[in-house]
Amino acid sequence: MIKIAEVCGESLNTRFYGASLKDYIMKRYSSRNKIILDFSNVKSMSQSFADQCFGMIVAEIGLNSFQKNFKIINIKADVGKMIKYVALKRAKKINNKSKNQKSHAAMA
Amino acid sequence: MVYEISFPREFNKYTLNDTFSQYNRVVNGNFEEIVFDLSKSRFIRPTGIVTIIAMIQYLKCIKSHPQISLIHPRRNKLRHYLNRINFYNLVGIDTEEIVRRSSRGRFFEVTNVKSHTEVRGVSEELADIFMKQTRSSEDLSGNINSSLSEILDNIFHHSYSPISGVVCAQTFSQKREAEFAICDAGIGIKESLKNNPEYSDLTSDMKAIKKALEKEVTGTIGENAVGLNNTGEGLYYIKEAIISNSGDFHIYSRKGKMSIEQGNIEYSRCPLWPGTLISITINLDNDFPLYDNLDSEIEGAEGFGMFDF
Repeated sequence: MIKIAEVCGESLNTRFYGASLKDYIMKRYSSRNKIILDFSNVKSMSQSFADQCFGMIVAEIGLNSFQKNFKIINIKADVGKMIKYVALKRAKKINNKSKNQKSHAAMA
Repeated sequence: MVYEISFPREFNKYTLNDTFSQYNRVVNGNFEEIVFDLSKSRFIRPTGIVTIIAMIQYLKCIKSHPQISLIHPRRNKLRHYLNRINFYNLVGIDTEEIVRRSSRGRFFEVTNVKSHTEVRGVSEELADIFMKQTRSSEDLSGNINSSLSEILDNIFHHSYSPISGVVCAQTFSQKREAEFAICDAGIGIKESLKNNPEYSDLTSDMKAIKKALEKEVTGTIGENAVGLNNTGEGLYYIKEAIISNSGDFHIYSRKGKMSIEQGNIEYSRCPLWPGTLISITINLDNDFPLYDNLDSEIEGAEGFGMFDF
């Protein structure tokens, strides 16, 4: 289990700290185990932080693996909403990119 | 030759233009001494304070051995206020012997944010003091914290400002408002956006500010690259929250200006400011719903139903 507030503080801000938390989480990630992310005491999260952390995790392992291998607990509604938002956005971008690549390949 | 920049009775977001014009004469001229004359000033709002500090710090960066002096405000109360918020320390000009007590946790000090690692601490402290002073909710304070950190973070990712960033805030309890001002002396929004080939044809600072307030607009290239690439949504959400709050939002970037007041957005040209200056006034009696629109954006998206939180 990773207690987010103990690693990163109660207010989750800035791209740099988002990227640092992503690295911290991914060092502990394995597709065979489920990681619990405990958001107790986390008060707020900026969009940049969320994207650099959770958006980029989704960009790296895909939305399905993110949903399958991470369990998020004790999260405030608006913070949870932000994670869903950046995760879905990054997943959509990856999908669009791979669709474009396929259509380019088909045309070639 | 001496050049004197004289500041108005109240130096705030509405009285910047004339001062910018005077400042441009100093930047482009060759003066032995530059005098910042605050003698007539009765009050300086946070936007004015960050402007003066950035002006002086930027002059020290671009001129070799500039002699800069300050004529203090005649009004005692303003001199004490400037001393109390750390103004004289940041401009590097000696002042009369007023004992400065530590302000930690009691009121806002004007702060030079020198690196991206300081952004979080500064925005957290400002939000914390804001919450204590206004007895506002944790949600409002959290949204202030996130907004400030987004704007300050932009300085280090986009502006290449030689003075980094200057931030100042103050609450006005009788008017039921709070003002936040953030300033840099960097390349400005237009040049930053032009790093992205999609926006390489931006022709004016005004158009660049307008573009930067739209969704998913960033100067960072490579939307799926691993690293600190941006989604370009920070300013968009801040703008929407300010409009919902019935607050004011002003951006000066190089020769462009944007103002939002009572929901009306105006773009205009202004005398050159060597960087970007952002001024936000929020209404303490209204919510500041920073990310309220997210619901409508994600509901129904592919994969939405799979989340278990």
